[in-house]
Amino acid sequence: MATWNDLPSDLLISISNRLDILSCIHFSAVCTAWSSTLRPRLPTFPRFRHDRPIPWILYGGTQKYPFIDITKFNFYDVSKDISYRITSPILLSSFYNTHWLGSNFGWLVFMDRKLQLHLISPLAGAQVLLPSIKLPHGYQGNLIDHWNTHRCYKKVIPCRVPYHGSDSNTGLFLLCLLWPQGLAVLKVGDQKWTCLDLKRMYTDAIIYQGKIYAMTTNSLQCWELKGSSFKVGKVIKIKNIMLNHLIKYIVETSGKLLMVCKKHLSNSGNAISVYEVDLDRRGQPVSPVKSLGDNAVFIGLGYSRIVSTVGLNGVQGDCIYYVCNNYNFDSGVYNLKKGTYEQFSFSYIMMDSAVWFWPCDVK
Amino acid sequence: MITLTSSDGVQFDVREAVAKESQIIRDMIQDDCVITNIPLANVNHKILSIVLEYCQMHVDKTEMEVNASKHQTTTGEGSSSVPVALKVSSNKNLNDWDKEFINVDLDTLYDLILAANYLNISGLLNLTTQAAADIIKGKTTEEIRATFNIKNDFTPEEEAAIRKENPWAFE
Repeated sequence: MATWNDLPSDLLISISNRLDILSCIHFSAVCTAWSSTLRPRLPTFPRFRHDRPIPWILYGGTQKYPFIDITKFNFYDVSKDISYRITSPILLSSFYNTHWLGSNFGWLVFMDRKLQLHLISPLAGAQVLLPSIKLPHGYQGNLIDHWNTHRCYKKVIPCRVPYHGSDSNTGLFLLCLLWPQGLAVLKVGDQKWTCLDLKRMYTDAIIYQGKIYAMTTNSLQCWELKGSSFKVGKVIKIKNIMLNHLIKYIVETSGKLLMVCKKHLSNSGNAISVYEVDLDRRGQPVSPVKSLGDNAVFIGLGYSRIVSTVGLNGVQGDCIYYVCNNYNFDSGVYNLKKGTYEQFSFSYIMMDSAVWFWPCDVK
Repeated sequence: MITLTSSDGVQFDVREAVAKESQIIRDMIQDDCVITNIPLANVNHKILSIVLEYCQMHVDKTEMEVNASKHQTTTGEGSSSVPVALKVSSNKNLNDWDKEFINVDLDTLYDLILAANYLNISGLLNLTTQAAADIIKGKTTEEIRATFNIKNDFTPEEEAAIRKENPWAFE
């Protein structure tokens, strides 16, 4: 009878070298013998508490700068101002010149040089090739942007629809903001994307109470998930034209939606403002929010989220944390009450491609 | 021919090339060229026969390739693309064969890992450790314990401490 827990440590290590990071952590926690061999060899990650989750910044991975080791993923802990480098089970050289588009639940969406979309899990080593978005014939979208790179996707937001009784519409959805305008949705596992709109320019989207909400320059568009189709819902018009030129993010917090409006560059006064969106109120549906209390908002590429900072060191409440997108290198913390902003201390070059990374399901 | 004797006294007569797939046997033969009988204290006959099946297959395949490329050269038709194509297809066959070969129960896999390590057969060691990794991949800690029949010997405090190190991995 074989006794696997007696496996010599060099053989145990040689097996663990063939595992993704997530499996390796599970492997190292099986018994005391394996743990004493494998745990000292595990990489160190930024801290992450389930009850007070603060995302990591995942950065690098493009090969634009030769001094960035592209065989490794880089994670930055905003609370401790420390970077961690983790060898990925996925061959990163295949990411050369890729565009990261969004992240949530441990997943990362990126587009490769052939405009092919990929969904990967850097920690669990999973890789899913996503279907291409078929734009209708005659679509006037400009596929060549000012960076002179072919890009037709602005941002992809992974959202989870929880299971409710007999509801068949559960699972992981990707909301894709098209460049320069348009919105498409894919249920992961399905064969094709559904284009919801090709006329408006979107800046953020979310799935909230079984509905897709997406921000345009002056409205919040809505679609209900009905089986495999999407029914157009009530549109919320934002009548305050002073907000039109701002980049808008949409965040869900205990039964309501917040709209976070950000100027393109944060070093100008009142860079970020927050509004509550009342979905049922007519006339003036958005009202300013003066304070977020002990909460912090995380905006940038991917899913925008608000979390409590109670009991956490190094993360400030009433603040908006943001990472750059593909259009500017502006990354830092904005204090809503004081109206002050502070850039993250590490080099902006590393932020060339950066997303908020939630290593697992939150909530 | 060389005679290998298993730990339980069973003798296997194999060609020198087959035995030499093992680095440790290769070293012995090089050190002393008259050696003909090698006792293997750590491998029983059941496992040794499986190991030798692996070595035999890999030696045969390699020799086939060498002969094929020689044939190409002597007949003068040797445009280099032909042997390359042949090699690729034979590698593919060998990979398929390996995959089928390593489809064994966990007790056998464990013994094969130890034997491959003891005899220092790098190809077999890669194959067996990869097979073990493939079984572990994607499983939770509890599932790995159940699969390999391993008892959880942590105190509740120790286990909680381990989970606290990377709480996101144990949701």
